[in-house]
Amino acid sequence: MNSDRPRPERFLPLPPAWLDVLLALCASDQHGYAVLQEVARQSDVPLHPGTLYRALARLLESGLIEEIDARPRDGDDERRRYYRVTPLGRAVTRAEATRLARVVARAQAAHLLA
Amino acid sequence: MTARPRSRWIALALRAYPTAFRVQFGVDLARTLDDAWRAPGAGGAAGLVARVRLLTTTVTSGLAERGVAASRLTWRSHRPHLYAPTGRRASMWDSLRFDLAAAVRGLASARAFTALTVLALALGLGANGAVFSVVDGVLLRPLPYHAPERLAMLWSENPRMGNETNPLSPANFDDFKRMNRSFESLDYALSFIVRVGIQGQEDQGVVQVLRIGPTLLPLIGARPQLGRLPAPDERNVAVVSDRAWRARFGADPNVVGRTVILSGNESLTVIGVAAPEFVFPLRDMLWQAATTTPQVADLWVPMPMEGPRWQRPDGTLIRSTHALMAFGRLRPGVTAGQASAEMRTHAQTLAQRYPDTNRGWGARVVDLHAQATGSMRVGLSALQGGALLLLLMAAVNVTNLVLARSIARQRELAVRSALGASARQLVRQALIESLLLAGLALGLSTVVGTWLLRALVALAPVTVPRIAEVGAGLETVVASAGLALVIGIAIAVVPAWVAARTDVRGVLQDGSRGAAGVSRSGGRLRTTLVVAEVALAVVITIHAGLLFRSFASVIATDPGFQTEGLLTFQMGTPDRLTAVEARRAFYDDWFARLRAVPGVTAAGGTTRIPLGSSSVTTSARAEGNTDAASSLPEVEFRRASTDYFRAMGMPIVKGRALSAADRPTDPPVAIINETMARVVFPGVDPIGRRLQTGPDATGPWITVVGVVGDVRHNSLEVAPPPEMYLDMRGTPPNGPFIAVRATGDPLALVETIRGLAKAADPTLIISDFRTMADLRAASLAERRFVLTLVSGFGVLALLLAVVGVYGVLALVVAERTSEMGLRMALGAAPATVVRLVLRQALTLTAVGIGLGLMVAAAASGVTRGVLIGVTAYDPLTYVSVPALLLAGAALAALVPARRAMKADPAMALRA
Repeated sequence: MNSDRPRPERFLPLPPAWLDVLLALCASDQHGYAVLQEVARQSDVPLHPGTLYRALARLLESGLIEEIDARPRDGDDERRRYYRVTPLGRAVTRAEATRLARVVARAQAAHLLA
Repeated sequence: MTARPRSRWIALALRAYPTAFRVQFGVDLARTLDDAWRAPGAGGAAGLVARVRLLTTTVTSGLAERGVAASRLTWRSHRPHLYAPTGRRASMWDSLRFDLAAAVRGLASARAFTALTVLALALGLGANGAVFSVVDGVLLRPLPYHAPERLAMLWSENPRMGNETNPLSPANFDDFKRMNRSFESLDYALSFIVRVGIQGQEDQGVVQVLRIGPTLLPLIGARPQLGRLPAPDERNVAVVSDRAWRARFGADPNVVGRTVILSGNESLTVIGVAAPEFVFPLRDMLWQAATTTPQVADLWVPMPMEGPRWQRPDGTLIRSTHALMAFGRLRPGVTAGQASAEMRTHAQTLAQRYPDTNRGWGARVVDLHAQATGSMRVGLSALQGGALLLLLMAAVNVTNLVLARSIARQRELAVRSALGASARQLVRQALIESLLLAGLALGLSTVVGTWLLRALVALAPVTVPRIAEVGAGLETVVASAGLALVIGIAIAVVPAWVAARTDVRGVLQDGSRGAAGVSRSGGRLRTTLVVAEVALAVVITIHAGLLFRSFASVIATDPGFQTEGLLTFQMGTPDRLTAVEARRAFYDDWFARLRAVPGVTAAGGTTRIPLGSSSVTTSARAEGNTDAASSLPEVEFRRASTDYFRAMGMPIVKGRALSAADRPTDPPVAIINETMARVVFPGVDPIGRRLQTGPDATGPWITVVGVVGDVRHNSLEVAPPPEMYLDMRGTPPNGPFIAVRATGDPLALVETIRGLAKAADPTLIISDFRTMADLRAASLAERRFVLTLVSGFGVLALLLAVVGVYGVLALVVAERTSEMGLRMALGAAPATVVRLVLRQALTLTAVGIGLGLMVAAAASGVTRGVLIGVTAYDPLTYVSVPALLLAGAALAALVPARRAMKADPAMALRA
C-alpha cells in the first residue's frame, strides 16, 4: 500500500467544493473567509460557509492543504487560520483540471458547447 | 438586527457541529457566518428568509459533519483525522469500546448465566409486549370513526330500578333531540341487531340487520367505498358492510342498485358499501346482547319512526317503549360529563311534563370509546398488571443472579480497582454489561412477543372488539424498549453497589473467599430480593386463584335449562305465508315433522333463545296495580311453542305449561318465570291472575297459567330478570329459534333437519346450528381467556419464586459448606443441618408470603369487579396459595440441604 505517497488520481473526481477551495488556494495562501470571497468572485455557484469549512477539514485530513503559521500580509487577523496548498494538493488540482478539460473537449465534440 | 441576537443565533447553529470541528474551525466559521449575515442587499422579508436559510443550512451541514465524525470513530481506517482519539471525548469512546468488548467476553464465558438471564427477561418482556399490543388495539386505539373523541351515547337511566343504561323511547328521544344544546347532532339505532334471511338463498343468505336513524351513518363518519349513504328521507334502501359485501355478494362491484328481499317480503335497494375500516356497532353499543354472538351488522337499513311500533293511533310518538339507542356528536369542547348534566335537566323537565311514563327516569351521556371498551377494561388491565408483575419477578430473579455473579467476581473487581480503575469505571462496566443483557433480551423478546401475540389473538374470543386488527405496533416496540432500558439500569445498580463497597485490601488479602463485609450485606440484599419475589408470586397467584374460583362458580351456575343433548338453530319462515292462519298451520306441521325424527324427544320454538340472542322488554301491570306506567317493572318478553319448555328442560314449578288446547282465538295466557312471579305478583299466587303489557301497559288482558323456572338468558353471570312467555301461535313469528332435544349427539341431527326443511318448503331458511353446550361454552369464552392467561402467569410466578428460593439457598449453602462441615465434625446430626437449611428457606418464604398477602388484600379492589360467587378475600385461596408456595420452597430447599448434609467434615476442617 502506498498510503505514504498517495497518487493524485486516487482523489478524482473531486467534489466541486474541494476544487473551488483548491483553486483559490493555488492562487495564494488565504484564510477561510478569503477563500469564500474568492469563490464567490470566480464561481457561479456560491459556497455556503459550512460547506467551505467541511471541505477544509477533509482537505486537511487528506493532506491536500496544510495550515500555516506565517501571515502573508501584515495587519491580517492573527486569530484567523491560514491555509496553503501542499504539493500533493497542487498535483491533485492539476489532475482534476486535466480531467475536466477532457470532459469539456468531449462536450465540444458532441457540439454541446458554442 | 443587533449584534447580540445575531451571534447568539450563530452560536446556536454551530452547536450542530462536533466539538472537535468547532475547536478547529469554530471561530473562523462564526466570523464567516457573521459576514454573510450582514452581507449587503439583505433587508426586509427577503433578508429574513436568507438569514433563516443561512442558519438551517449551517445546522444541516453540522449534522452531516457529525455523521462523518461518527463513521470516523467507528471505522479506524482513515488516518490521521480530525476526530483522532486525543481529546477527552475520544478517550471516553475508546474505553466504552473496551468495556463493551469486555462485557461481550464476560457474558460469552458465563454461558449458562447469560442464557438464563436473557431467557427470563425475554419471556417477561415478550409477554408484556404481547399483552400491551392487545390492550393498545382493543382499549387505547381510537375508534374507527370520524373524530371519534366527540362521539357519545345517550342513555335513559332509572336509578331507583337499578337500571343505569336503558334505551330511549321514541318520544323521549325526539324531545331530547329538540331540547339539547350539547350535541351537534343526535340520531338513533334500534337496540338490537336482527338476523334475517335473504329470500332465495340458503344458509349463508342470513344477514344481520341493524335498523338506524336516517342520518346515523354520516353522523358517526361512515364513508362509502362504493355508492353513497342514504339521504335523510330515503326508505327501503340498505348500506352493506364491507364484510358482508365480500362474504355475501362476492365483492361484486355492481352491487349498488341491486334489490335484496328480506324474509317478510321487505324489499331493499342496495345504495352503498361502507369502507372496510368502518365497523358499527362495536361491542356494548347496543343493548344487552347475548355474549355468544358478535354484534356485527351486515346491512344498515334506515328506519323512520313511523307505524304502530313507534306511533300511537293518533300519530304521536310512543313514550313508554324503550327500544332506541341514541348516538350523538358532541359540540367541540363539550365533554360527556357536561352533556350528561344538561340531559339530566331535560329528563327532569320531561318527568314533570309526563309523570305517567317518565317519573324516575333520568339521562346519562357516555363517551363512545368508554362505552365500547368498558367491559373489557377490567379483564385486560388485570392481564397487563399480571404481565408487569411477572416481568418484575423475572427482573428480581435476574438481579439475584447478577448479584451472585458479582460477588463471585469480587476478586476481579478488587484487582481492577487496585490497578487503578476508578469507581466510575467499575460502575460503567457493570452498567454496560447489564444493558447488553437487556438488549439481548429485548431482541429475543420480539420473537417471543410475536409468537405470544399470535397465540393470544388465536385464543381470544370472537366477541373481543377489534381483536383481528391487533398487531405489534410502534407503541409496543417503544414500550418494550423503554422497559428493557429501565431493567438494564435497575439490574446494574446491584453489581455497581457491590463494586462500590468492595474492600480492595480485604479481598486481596483474604486468600480463599470474599471479604466478609460485602458477603454479609450481599446476602442480606439477596434475601430481600427473594422475599420480594415470593411476595409478588403470592399477589399474582392469589389473583389467579380468585379468577379460577370465579370460573368454577360460573361453570357451576345452573342456567335453568338442560344444556346437554340440545340443538338450536334459527329459522326463517317461507314468505308466502303472510296470513297468520297459514303460519300457524305451517308451525303445527313443522313441529310434528321434527318430533317424528328418530332420536328427537321434544322440539319447541321461541323468539329469543337463551345465551344466543338479544332480548326485548315490555312493562307489565298486574291487575289492580294502579302505579304510574313509569314505575311499572320491565319484563323480558318471548313467544314460545307448546313444547318449548319440555325441549329446553325448563321445569314448570307451578300451574301448567302452554298447551295445544289453548286456542289462539281464546283470551291469551302466559307462563311467567319465578322472578317475574315475585316482582309482579309479590306475596300472592300468580296462577289465574291477569296482567297487561305493551306501551304504557295498556295491551289486552293476559292470564297467567303457569310459573316456569328462571333461566340465565344473556349470560351465566347475570341474575335472571323477570320473563314472560306467550303462546307463539297467537302471533306466529317469522324468524324463531328452534330447540330440539335429542337422545344422542345433537349435531348428528343437522343433516336430517336440513333435509326435513327442504321437504317441507324449499324457501324455508335454516341457519346457525349450534348445540346449547357450545353456546354455553362460548358464553364463558372471555372469562376462560382471561383465566387461562392469568393462570399461566400464576404458574410462571410460582416457578420463578421457587427457583429464586433455590438460588439463594444454594449460594448460602455453598458459602457455609465449611461451617456445616465443622458443625458435623463437632457432632451435629445430618438432620440438624438439613433442618437449619430448611428453616432458613421457610422463614424467607413465610416473610414473603406475609408481605404478599398484605399486598394482595390491599389490591383486592382491582379484581373485585370480575369476581363471581367468591369474595375478594376468599379464605380457600388465601390459604391454599401460601401452602403451595411453602411446599414449593421446601422442595427447592431440599436440594441444597442434602448437599449441606453431605459436607465432608474432614474437608471442612482442612480448609
